[in-house]
Amino acid sequence: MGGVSVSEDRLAPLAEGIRPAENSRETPVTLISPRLEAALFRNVLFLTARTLVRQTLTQAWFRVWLVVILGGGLWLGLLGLFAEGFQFLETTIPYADLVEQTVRYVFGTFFMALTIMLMISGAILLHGGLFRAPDTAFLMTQPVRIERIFLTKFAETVLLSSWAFIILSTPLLLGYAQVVEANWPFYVALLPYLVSFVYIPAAGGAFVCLLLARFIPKLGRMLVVVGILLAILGLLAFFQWISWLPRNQFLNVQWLERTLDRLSITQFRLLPSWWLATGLLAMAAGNYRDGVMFFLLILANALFLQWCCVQLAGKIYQPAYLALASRLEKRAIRRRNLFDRVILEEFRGIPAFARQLILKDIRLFRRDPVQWSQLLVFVGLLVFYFLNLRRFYYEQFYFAWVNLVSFLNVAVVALLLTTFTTRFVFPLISLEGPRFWVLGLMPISRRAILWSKLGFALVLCPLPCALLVLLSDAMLNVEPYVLLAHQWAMFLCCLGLTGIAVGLGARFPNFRAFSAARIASGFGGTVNLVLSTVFIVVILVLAGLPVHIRMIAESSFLLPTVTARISLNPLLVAWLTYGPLLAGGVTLAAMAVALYVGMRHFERLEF
Amino acid sequence: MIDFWNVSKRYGNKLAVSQLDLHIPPGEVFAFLGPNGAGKTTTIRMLVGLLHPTEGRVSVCGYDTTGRDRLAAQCIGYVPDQPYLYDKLTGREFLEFVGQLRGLSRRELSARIEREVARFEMGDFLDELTETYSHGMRQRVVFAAAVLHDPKVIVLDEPTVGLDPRSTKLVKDLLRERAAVGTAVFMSTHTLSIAEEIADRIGIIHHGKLIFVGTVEELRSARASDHASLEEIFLQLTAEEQQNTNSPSSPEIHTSGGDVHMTPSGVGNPRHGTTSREDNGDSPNEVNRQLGESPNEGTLLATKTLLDQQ
Repeated sequence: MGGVSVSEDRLAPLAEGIRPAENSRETPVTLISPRLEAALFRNVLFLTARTLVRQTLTQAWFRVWLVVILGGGLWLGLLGLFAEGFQFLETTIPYADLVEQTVRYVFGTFFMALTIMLMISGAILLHGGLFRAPDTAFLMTQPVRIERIFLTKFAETVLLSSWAFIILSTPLLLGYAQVVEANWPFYVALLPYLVSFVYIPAAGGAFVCLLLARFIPKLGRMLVVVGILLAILGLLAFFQWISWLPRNQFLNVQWLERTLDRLSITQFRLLPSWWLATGLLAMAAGNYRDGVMFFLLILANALFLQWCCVQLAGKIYQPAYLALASRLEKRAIRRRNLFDRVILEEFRGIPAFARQLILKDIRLFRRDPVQWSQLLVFVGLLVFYFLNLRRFYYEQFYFAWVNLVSFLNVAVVALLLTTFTTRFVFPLISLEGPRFWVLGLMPISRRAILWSKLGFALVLCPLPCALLVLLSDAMLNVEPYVLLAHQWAMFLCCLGLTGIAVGLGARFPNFRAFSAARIASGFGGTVNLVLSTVFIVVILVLAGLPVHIRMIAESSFLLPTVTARISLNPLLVAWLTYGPLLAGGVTLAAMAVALYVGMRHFERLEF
Repeated sequence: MIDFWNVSKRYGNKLAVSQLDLHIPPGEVFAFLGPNGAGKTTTIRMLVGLLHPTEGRVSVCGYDTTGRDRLAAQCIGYVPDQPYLYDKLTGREFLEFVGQLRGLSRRELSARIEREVARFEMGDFLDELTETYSHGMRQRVVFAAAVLHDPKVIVLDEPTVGLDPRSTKLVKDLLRERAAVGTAVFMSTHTLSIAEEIADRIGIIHHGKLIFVGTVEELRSARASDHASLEEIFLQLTAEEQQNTNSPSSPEIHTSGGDVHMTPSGVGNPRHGTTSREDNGDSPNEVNRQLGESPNEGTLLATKTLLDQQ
């Protein structure tokens, strides 16, 4: 027999007090014992994980290596950065007490921020698992205890949340341990500490998720939206308040004191993040008694909160599930909104069928919140960062700072666009797979379908990117020619990245996956991501960087010799003059090659 | 065995199922018919515990289907219209999981899996990951999982969609076989020939109201159309109901003896829409004899209300 079998087949007698309804004359039924139930679910989880690992290693080795290399590089980079930061504190601040206090505040703030993020992400993940996942509907028709269904989904959520938490936390903690030369018990305790801790915010998220699902549907969706918006605004206001300082007080003693004062909220003794920070610092300092005590405190709270969640789920999960299932999801959709009218009526240069195809993709995109909500969060955070740009700089290095940051911001927007095209544009052809008969039976060529996908991507991408770069440049008050250069570079990035994504999407389609995320994370998506990243590096070097080199050359901050060296080197002069033009050529070539390869493959493809 | 006690279900303002009072005894194959959106799937989802009735109660083997203790689920084998399987398990691993959840011992489970493998001819693919299965293969595995524990009640939502003729025949034989040993079968289907062939009784639901319950023969005699196929009668009946829904004045209301009856225009006999029967182990024939004797309380109330309004 296969792996699901569990050695212990114990049937629990009918639970005390459970009796058939009044009209029944049937024989009593029995449920399996909770222990066997748990073992069965563990087995399913184990078998699923084993299959996933095997499939990933055999079918997606390229992605695995890429993730290991890039992820490992990032992790090592963070480790080095944190170690350097703690070393800086040790050497710069002359008072040991102040160093310790600063580290304590850094840890407290870091873990408090992660706690909030884990709670929010846990609530969202768990909501999807408990109320939307198809396996939940299946389990609801099986004789499984409600608490078991909840526990299974809770465990999945903890698993999904914890890896990111551990990957983000370990470089900070190990970087600190390296600087203070912590002993081996610190390293032994690290993982149990972090894993136990994850349960606490996950349980918080579970409480929020269950209570919202049970009680909010009665109050209406609008309240949820308003609540989420208020929570986000509250968080932004909180961080604004913490980071606000007069311009002349940056990185001096007053700044440090004021910042520590504002961060004192992270030192509240009842916060689990404070227990974690204090316990780990105690372990690193060799104070094992305190370290173990805080570990046990976290563990006990984690177990207790999980128990509370299970009890709550036993009471309200099923009613919440049934209430959500009874909600009427239908809503009337206006036949055409303004945006649709603009697409259909104002772009008369594009053939009518192509406009319809573009509109179809736009409608599918905007009516699927999963598609655009993550992007909105990214863009929102970027806007928030751009709006706060002026606050973070050294007055005396203003020119160099603007020069560097404005260029980095363009690079960030380009990287964001790369993830967008990989996540949303690349899967467009693959997603047509199951419904290709709709397009396949129409009197339009496959070439036209591909062009329409490009049109869809070009309708969506350029404007937001241009606005983001404009906002960054406006906040930094850059020279007009720098602004123009940035816009040119961003325009080329939009053209090239959408062309590459559409072309490669047609070259490496995956018609078996129904989720855009899954398609994007496959082999073709990974190739697209790598090639797109290489492309933006080339474009930024050719079209974006020259203007900044020119700025440096003209800057009075630099030595005259440097200026002379730049102006004298013919290669550099050629780069500065012809780079932006060459970038245009590279963009057209990249688009042409990707689209040609994609079209050739797509036209021969059998569905 | 299966009891709907004056069950209504609302989605917001929309009434999906209205005052359904229906009782299926052991050993009966009951086919639930109706046009798209009539309320069939909502009824089935209430029956398997995926929806809670707004009013009334649904019980299986005497256990409330939405009870926290999940005991009703132990009595049911359910085949949904969209079969769910864990993609990363093989069909055999899935059957083992379901079988052990149902409390089967290892030896029992092994024997029953072999029984179902032979019945549904799954030997060629059962040890492959279910993500590679076609719809028909998935459906066969889900069927096997539903009957693995020899449930007292089998609930099927459009069971033959995606099945080849041979598999369809297997399913029909299986359902008759299970009914013969006392299992109650509740099946929704659009394939009227299957309903005609294997169902002991049929129920026709339209706009959430049960407009007929009885045998096919009773339906024919009620419509005075002895030679018409079930398909023809079904289409006529639902078309008339549609007409009645569109024009509220069209139901014919008349009295005979002390009873009040509401007859949709064109229906010869008083309608048997929500005929109820206490679940006392009567045979399906006895149930059928009771049909038409008296309308149930829900219909009576509705009729009286209409009379009052007139």
